[in-house]
Amino acid sequence: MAGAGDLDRMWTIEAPQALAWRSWDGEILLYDDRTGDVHHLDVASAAIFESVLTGPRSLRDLVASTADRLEVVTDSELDGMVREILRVLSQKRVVAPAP
Amino acid sequence: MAVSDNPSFRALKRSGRGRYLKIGPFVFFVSTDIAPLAASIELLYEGFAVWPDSSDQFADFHVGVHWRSRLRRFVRPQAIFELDGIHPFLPLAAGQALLMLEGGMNWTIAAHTPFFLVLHAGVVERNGRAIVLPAPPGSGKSTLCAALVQRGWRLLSDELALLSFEAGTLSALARPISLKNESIDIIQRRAPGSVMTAPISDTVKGNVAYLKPPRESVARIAEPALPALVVIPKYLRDGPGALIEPKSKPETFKELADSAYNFGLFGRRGFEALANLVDRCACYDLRFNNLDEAIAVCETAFGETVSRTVA
Repeated sequence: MAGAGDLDRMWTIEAPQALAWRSWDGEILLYDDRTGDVHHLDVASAAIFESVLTGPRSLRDLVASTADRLEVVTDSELDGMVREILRVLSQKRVVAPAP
Repeated sequence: MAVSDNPSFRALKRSGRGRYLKIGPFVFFVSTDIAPLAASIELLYEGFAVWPDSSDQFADFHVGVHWRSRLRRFVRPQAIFELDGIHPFLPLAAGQALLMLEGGMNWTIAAHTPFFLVLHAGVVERNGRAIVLPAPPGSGKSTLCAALVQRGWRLLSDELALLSFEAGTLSALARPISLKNESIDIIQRRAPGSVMTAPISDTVKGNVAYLKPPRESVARIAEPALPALVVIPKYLRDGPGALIEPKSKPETFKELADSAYNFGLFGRRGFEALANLVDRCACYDLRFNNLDEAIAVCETAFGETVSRTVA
């Protein structure tokens, strides 16, 4: 598992032109032209997706913005959750480490 | 020109030829050499625009149900569906010819139209706004749809919602409503004057009968409607009279996408069309056991939604 050293790693949307999305009540449905898949992002995943959408974000930034968005404290549990969401979103090729 | 103004569909028995039948946005060339089926078509499609086979009308689809073979009509007779010269399905007992034609036409539209996103859903309309009723078989969708139509709602479709990509409107088919098992008696009792075929027995869905669409729905078949409400019905034998609850838009989208026959074909265009539909609709789950209560809660939700939109 990645540790504190990767907090400054930058994340970006892998192929923004391939995505279409719709946001309802904080959740997002995301369509990917490359696969034809529709992904359902819950509130936390949607918050991270929308943060990365505005431009490359570091893991540190994402943990902070997610804490703000969900109105929770920044702790190791949140850090772990953000990492897990990034892992899932990168597996779906929605986000990727910035080059 | 309407079916009743034309040479009888029964004549098809002798000619083995067909008629051009305009059903909403599509023209079907329908042929059969099975007399009872010709009579059922004549009964159920009265009022639809029709042209004789000698006309130079264009048809989107050429469909037919015919005896499987000349000899098979005498020994355990079977009928087979044909689309544009191919037989996509296995034959059925000849007594199920109407079921085969109606199911075959559903499949023909769902699998072949490039002009609409096709959802497995009932659609009814009032004052230009529609309720979309998507649901899997056995959910009570057709029963609810028929009961709403008997209450004066205009029938757009019992089985297939045709969603246009650009305008976001729903086009009408106004074809006969397929009722199964207990629903046949329930709907007949609610409106004894309704015109319905005799039940077709021993189908994979049990007994099936077709309810003739109301004359007004057929007359207004060219009028599309804007979706206002998505109601996902579920009949529960031991459930509440009727309980309608808001459903989240993402969950509604997923159910609609699952119910769409051709969602995967249209890529982003299909996603946008369906998302636009969900955007403009209030979305609900409906669990019901009592039809009158189900109608009442649907009408209340519809009234509230439409008045909010107008305000």
